[in-house]
Amino acid sequence: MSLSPIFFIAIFPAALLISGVIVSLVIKSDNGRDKIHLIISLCNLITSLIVIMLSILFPNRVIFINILYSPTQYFLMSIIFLFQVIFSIFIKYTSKDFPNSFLFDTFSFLIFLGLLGIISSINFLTLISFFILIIIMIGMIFYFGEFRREFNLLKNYFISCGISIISLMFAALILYIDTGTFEFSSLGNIALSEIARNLLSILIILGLGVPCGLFPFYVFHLKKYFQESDYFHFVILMTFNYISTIIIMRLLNSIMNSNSISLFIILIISGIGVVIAIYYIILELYTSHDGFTYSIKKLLGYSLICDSNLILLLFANFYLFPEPIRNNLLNLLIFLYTSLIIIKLLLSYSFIVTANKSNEDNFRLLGNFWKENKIFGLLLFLSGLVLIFPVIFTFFYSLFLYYELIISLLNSLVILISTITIILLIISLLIYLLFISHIFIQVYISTNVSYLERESSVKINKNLIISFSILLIASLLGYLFIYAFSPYWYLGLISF
Amino acid sequence: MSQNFENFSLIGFFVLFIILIILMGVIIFIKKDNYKIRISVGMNLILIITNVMVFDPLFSLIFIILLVFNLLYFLFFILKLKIIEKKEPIIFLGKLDNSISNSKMKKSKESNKHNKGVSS
Repeated sequence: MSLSPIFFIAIFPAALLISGVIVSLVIKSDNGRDKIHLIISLCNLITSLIVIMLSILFPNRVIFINILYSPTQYFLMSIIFLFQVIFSIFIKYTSKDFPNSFLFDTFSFLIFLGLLGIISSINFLTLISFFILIIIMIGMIFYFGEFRREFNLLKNYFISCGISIISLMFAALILYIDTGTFEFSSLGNIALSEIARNLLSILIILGLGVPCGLFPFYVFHLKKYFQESDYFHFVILMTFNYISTIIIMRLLNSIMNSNSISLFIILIISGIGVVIAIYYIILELYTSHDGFTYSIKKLLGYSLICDSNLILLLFANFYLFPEPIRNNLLNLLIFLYTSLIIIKLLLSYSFIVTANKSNEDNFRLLGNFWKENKIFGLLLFLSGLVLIFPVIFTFFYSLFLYYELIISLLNSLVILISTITIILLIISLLIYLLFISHIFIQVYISTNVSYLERESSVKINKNLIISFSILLIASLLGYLFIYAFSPYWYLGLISF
Repeated sequence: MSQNFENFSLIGFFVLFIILIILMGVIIFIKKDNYKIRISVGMNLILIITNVMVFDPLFSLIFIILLVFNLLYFLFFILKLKIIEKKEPIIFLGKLDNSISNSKMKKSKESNKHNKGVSS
């Protein structure tokens, strides 16, 4: 066990988060809690960027008992801390001092610590322990806020947490009985039996997917969360969702075969998930099915789950292809996924101004924000624009190049599945553009305003906003740069 | 070196496990909410960090079960004691109506009694 100097820099964010937990428990005051959040998140982000630079110079993997630090882990870390910075900006501008806010801060730091643990754990039990901590903490923080919320709102969510914990425990047992170890690194050397392989992949999808919505019936347990939560709760749920999808893909990548039954189960489950998400987005945009809510948070939530289901659908589809092309396509998929994460960050970031002005999230009541807040309008507009040109263009261009190479070798079933998948992908991307443009027109252009303003809205610091939006766009360009000049780099994110 | 470390860690974690069980007992019997919260959060942190350090699968499994119990206890403690409260008191309309109707009933009963008293 040799520890390099990079290791001590890499554990610095975890140490900072633990100190954040302790500070917020000890100080226990409402004054300056936004500053603590902002300082810790910015320090974490800067440290992770420094570690990425160092890992390019010294590309070594440091194993510390059940935790692995490698260059791809640092990359995922930086994504988590981008989310944390946005979370802290939301805390600064939208959260008023509410009772027991120090407990909320403690829990939020613990959640980010758990997310760090999830991405860096190489032992299945360690992963489970971090995951359990996160899902229950996410349920707990829902009850902190300006308004008191009833327990019944999240009853279904906690039931789904129970299902997830039980299925993860069973998955751990099956893994141990079949292989005799919990470590992922040894999965490549040991041949799993076919039944264990199928059972494990189904239990992992159930365990890691159900609480974050990778299942067609997510509407029953996450709808209330989207509707009743504040924006800062939503940002945490978003981080958790994206990271757990990456972890599911990573685990399935080391467990699944190209001809296993679980692939078809994933195809069916995630396909239905995408269709239901699209259906609910359209319902929310144009109808009064849910009681005239027209809620921005619900739209964002459905699109977030549509993303995860869509990526899992594409993952299962690309797994049906023969070996050399499969890796290229998976690499392309992870590029699409990271870009979608940045786009969703831009999108959610542009709602700070509306959340600062009012508690209202009905986009039909909001309006006339263009005069004073052009930056946020531009960010919202940019999120759609970036989605169209660099991301979709690069993705489809490369995808069709690969299809052209391999189409003669595929059988008719795989061609049918890929056609359905691509059609679903195109429809969901169009729906994203539709709701982005719809919200942009309603919130920024429309002059029909009938929302209640907050009594004391905080004045927004424009320098902070502009510098962070530049950072987001630069990171997106960085991802494009990596895709252009370093092939197969993204594949490292879903392999141990 | 690593073998020694493993042996040492096994004994260390066994001691830690007993300490954690005692701490869980302490949490249940402490009356002040503030201390309860702090010790619970501390317990969560200790359990998570030890889970990272443990080699043995059995110990790891025990720590996970302890973590689940601790988290569930913490959740129900928060919900049960209603430490998350709104600044302004909530008045439910249903209750308001009931209270009004009750007061009306009382008044009417009193007036009836009064009337009866007068009449008698």
